[in-house]
Amino acid sequence: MRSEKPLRLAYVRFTSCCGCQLTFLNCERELARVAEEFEIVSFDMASSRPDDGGPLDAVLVEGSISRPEELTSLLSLRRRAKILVAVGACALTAGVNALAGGDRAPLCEEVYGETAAGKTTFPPQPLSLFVRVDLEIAGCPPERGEHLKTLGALLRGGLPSSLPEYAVCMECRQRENLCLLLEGKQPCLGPVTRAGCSALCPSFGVICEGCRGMVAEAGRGEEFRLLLELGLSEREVKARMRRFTGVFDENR
Amino acid sequence: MRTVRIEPLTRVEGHGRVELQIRGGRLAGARIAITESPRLFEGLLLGRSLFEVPALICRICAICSAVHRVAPARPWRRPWE
Repeated sequence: MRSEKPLRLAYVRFTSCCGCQLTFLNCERELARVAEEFEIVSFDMASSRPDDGGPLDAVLVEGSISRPEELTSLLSLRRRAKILVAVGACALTAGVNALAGGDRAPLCEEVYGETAAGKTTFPPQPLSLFVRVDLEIAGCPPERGEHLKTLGALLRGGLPSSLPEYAVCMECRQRENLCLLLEGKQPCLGPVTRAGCSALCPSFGVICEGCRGMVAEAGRGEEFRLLLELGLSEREVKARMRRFTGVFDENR
Repeated sequence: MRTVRIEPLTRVEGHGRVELQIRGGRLAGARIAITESPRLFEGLLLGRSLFEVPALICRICAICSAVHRVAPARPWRRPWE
């Protein structure tokens, strides 16, 4: 069923790497269909069309908030959009950006020189700290399929069902992969990480680094012990397990 | 003299703008300003294991992520050479 008027959609980004937008652009087979069903009001990675500032049916937001200008822009998007979707680890938890929290001023000056002095920046924060988020799409980068599922649901006037409540191991075992943690003796975070990626990395022999965030009731203690047994230092185990928990890690 | 501002830069990773100075119908100057939010990878790497670095800094830029992933793995060889 096609809606009479195409839905007005924007894809914007703040403090991030463009990876979420790029993932969506990589849905090459589906892009023509998306262009038919949606009016793309703003999407810097795909189009030079200037944002008309009008109301939006939905906005996808990539990245975390680390400057006052970004916050102003986020609040304005929230006012304009019926539905706001946070996409990717940076938007959900501040992702790897959060690892550079704390006092940023000296570091900014070291990296950017004296010109950085006049710029205000604060430790990167997730979107949900400032605005109501209607849907979260996890991952760094998120899955193409989750983008498409979301757009499909929007066309039907709704939102897709929420994120899976089981660990990456479940999907990994379904694909009959060798266990990288127990059999491969590598520091895989599959047991404590939220599924939904079809165990993409482990299926290519690459350990899960937890980019989709912790699964509900994650066995963190047991995972910690298993990683220590592999010979990693306590400090490195902590660093690995916190890589994507962003600002929500209570043990930071 | 007239200044044409192109903002934002599109189809590229990062926030930025271009300013073109036009005098008598000819381009007199061009400047680029990077308005990217600082992500401070230089700082967040401090004190981390060499083996964690590739997975972190490949997140600098999605377009050239592969290069960022491979380059920091090269020093891994050195200690054993």
